[in-house]
Amino acid sequence: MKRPNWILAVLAVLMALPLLAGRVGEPAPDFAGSDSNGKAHKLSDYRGKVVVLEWHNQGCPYTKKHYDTGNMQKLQKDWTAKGVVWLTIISSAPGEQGYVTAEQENAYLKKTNSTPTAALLDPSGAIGHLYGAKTTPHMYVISPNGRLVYEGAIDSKSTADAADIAGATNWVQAALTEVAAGKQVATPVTRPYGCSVKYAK
Amino acid sequence: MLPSRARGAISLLLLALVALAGAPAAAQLPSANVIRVTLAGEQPSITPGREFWVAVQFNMDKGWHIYWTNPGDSGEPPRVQWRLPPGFQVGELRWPHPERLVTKYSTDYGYAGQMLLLAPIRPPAGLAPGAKVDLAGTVKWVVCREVCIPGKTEVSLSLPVQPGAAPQPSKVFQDARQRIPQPAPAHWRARARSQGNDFVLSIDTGRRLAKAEFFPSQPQQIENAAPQVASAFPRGVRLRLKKSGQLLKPIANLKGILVLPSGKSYVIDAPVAGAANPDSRHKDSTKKPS
Repeated sequence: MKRPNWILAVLAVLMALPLLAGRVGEPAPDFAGSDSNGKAHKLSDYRGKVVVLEWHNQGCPYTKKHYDTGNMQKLQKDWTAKGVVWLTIISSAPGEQGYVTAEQENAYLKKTNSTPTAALLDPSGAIGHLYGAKTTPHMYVISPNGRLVYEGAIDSKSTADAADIAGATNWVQAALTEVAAGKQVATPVTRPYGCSVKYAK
Repeated sequence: MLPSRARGAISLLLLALVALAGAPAAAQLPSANVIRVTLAGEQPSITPGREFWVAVQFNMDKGWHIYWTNPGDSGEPPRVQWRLPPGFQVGELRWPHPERLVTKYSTDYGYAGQMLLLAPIRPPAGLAPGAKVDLAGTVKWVVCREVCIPGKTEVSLSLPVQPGAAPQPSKVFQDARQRIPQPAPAHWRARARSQGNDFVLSIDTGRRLAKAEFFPSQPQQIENAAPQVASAFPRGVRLRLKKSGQLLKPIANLKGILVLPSGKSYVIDAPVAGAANPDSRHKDSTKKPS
């Protein structure tokens, strides 16, 4: 049976191209969003800086693992002090678990001593879908030249158990250290672990 | 106003649940309400030196699920830490084949309703007849619906030593063993081809198969939420699987479990051939029509 395999091959390559956007090594897609203080942010405003995106859900046990222990806050504090922009993003839809109003988010940030650059409210899930964020947490690191250099889990132990933080390799810490040193990120992609993101249907 | 009051009550309940789930000491409390975890043995007694089966049983309320070894888009598999008397040897956990759990938010691989996680145990030959043996373990899990609740419990089972007792296979254990994936029959041939954004997994079983479902044992290889398109061919079935967006390098093998409509499941290890890397893709795309 003869089949024009080359046609399929060409089609496959053409079809693959648009889907490569937003992947590690490619330019990070730009987005605009509003934070818990009503301030507007655009990713492209932060060109020249390292940007961390952290998908967040305050009721998710995996998020709580890293906040109840102060692990996430320490990472935020250490790196924002070095000029890194940290955007916490909440994509739970209204009526879904983890959805918060601006006031609720500000109260949470205060209670947990969290210091992201901003907490973006994304109830439509637009930013989440743009990046394909699957879990809370799901972490992304963007280089000063606007490329996605890390995507995946916060660390190497994919459990909800706080006791596992101590022995884990923190992939975000590793990626940020490498970017700061002008090096290639050694582990650019890992499987994100956590709760599913509670997008609108 | 009733609707808003009802809404208030629901969000209060949800808040309470979330608050409870977060308190580490109380983590198993709310979880116990939606999932019950116990240890069961197939035989009522232990024969010295003769292997027997035990099962960690998970019974979940409707709507809740736990996870397979590759949990899919979210969650994590349960873990068991055994505490057995000296001389007892426990084999690897035998995971039943999972099902695709398509929720509003994600596609997971796991179990709803009831799940039995089996393990074979070989007792030492020199056990004293009449003695009581305590088998125990710590089980940790995460059970999810709209929310996820981590849980942990101690399970135990006490069995008498009774040499010469005839083994009595139990229906529950036999059914559970049916769900454990078997090695693929020797005459099967599993192959995969990399084709643009897809893998085409082809299983030659010797006879036409209209349907099958593939569960990858490794994460980050296929897109869990993408539909698996099955097509029959005279000697088997082909599945078109969308590659994971996280797959940056070609893979040599696609490993996992193939579940047939009959409920039987088999371990598959398919070598991947084709345009997996950019160089060979480039060659393909510039090939002239012949």
